[in-house]
Amino acid sequence: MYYKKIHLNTDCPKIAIMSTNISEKGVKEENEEKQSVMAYRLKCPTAANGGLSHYMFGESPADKALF
Amino acid sequence: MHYNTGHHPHLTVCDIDGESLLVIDPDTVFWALVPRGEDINSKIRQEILPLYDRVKRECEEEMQVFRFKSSLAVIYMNSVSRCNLNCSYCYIPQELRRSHQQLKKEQLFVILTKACEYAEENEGGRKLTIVFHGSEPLLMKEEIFDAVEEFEDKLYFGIQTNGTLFKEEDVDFIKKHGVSVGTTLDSPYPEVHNSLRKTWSGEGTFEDIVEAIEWFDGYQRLNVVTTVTNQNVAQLPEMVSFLHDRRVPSVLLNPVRGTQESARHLMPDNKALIKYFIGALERAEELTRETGRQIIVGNFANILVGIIAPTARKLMCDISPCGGGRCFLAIGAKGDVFPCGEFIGIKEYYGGNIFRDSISDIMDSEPFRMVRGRIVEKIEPCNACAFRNICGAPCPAEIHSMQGNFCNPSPYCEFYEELIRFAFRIIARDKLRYYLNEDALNGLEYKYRLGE
Repeated sequence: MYYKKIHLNTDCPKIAIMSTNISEKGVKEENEEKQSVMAYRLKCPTAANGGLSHYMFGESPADKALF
Repeated sequence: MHYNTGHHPHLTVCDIDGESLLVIDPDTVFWALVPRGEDINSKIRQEILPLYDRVKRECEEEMQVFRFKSSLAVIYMNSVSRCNLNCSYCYIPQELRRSHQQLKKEQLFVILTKACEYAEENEGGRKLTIVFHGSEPLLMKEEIFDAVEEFEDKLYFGIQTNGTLFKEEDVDFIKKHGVSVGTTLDSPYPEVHNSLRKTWSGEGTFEDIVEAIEWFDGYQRLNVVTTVTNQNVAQLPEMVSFLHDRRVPSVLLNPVRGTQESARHLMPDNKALIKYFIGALERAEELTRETGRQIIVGNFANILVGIIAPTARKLMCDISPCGGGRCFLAIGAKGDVFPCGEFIGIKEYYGGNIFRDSISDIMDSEPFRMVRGRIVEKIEPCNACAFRNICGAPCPAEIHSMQGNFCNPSPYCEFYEELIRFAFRIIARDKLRYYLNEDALNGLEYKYRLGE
């Protein structure tokens, strides 16, 4: 359910983090760990422009079916 | 490999919930979710940056093309100014809805022919979509159905209607010709719906609309629009159940726009909107789990798509510049053209007349270029928001009307922000199949994925 608290980097404080230095030892240890980060992007092969559609009425059946 | 300095990638970290942190480049919508408790700096350097280094250029180009080179896809035909209803929150000025302007069939055919020619010359023959929209298109049902029969090989058709004028044989016609339909129902409770959507003499419309929805009986191109106000906001979860019971495949839960002053006292409070909208999403998920039959909340699905496949999104309100004057335009009953139906009646946004001007000239008019020039980079605080290219700060017409200058954030900013955060939680928990059509989702391909 909804809960509101202070958030970073949307309408609340903007704080950037940045890299400083990391030891080679640290790098090797990280690489041995199981992957836990999620990152991906999808594309719709049947829609125009590789995915571009429009308001509520789609052009291709696959496109329409998303909604 | 470094980040957030010099020419290195600029990544923003946001909190999503107690379990995940979001790492995102707001300009390209490249994102990664990192479990809390992990060493985020190591995760960025060891896993995220190597992937982003590989796909960054492609992400940049894709977003650039999507935002600034997308072409015309939809024409909204506001072919009749009159409406048989007098909903207090309507975005079309009341004096216009009382008037009796209406395109003649010959005029309608001239416009559709012009649309076909434009598509042939500018879009490589790609079929445009014509949506018969406000005020109430079924007041000229005969002309519209004739147009569908005459042009269905060259154009796609949709009808956005208040749903009160359907007869059962109309539904048969629509199904036979594959016309997309949007209709409106504001509450599962007749007294609430009837207080919001009523005739000029004050009669309710609930029974007629529900009967029409039942005639459609699971038609996959039916979409029900619920305009969310402070009168019905608490009923959104029940609304989803009510429509799911009637086999409606998708619903848009649209917060009322404050474009007209008469609508502003009905705008829901952001906190109530967040609470009940998310409640409605959770109800949709429960129903899908229990019955195996989905009901898709279209405007949330669009946000999810905007994150996982940014260029596949359908509602062009959630990106800047918005789709107005870019991916779509609206034509009124006298042939006047505006960037979007929301701008109808606002003189500054008049882009020309379809009977006097070419579509190309209208697309190139100053008002259209002005709307296309409204980008989040020009809006405070959107220009620094991590979600700026998932939200888009809608709607320019509403913000222009309420604040006199459309380079301002949305009155629903807090709502959009929280909805996007919720969308990332759905992604993190791998629950997309409850919120997007599962068959279509399975048809999507990975553009990139961590670990591949």
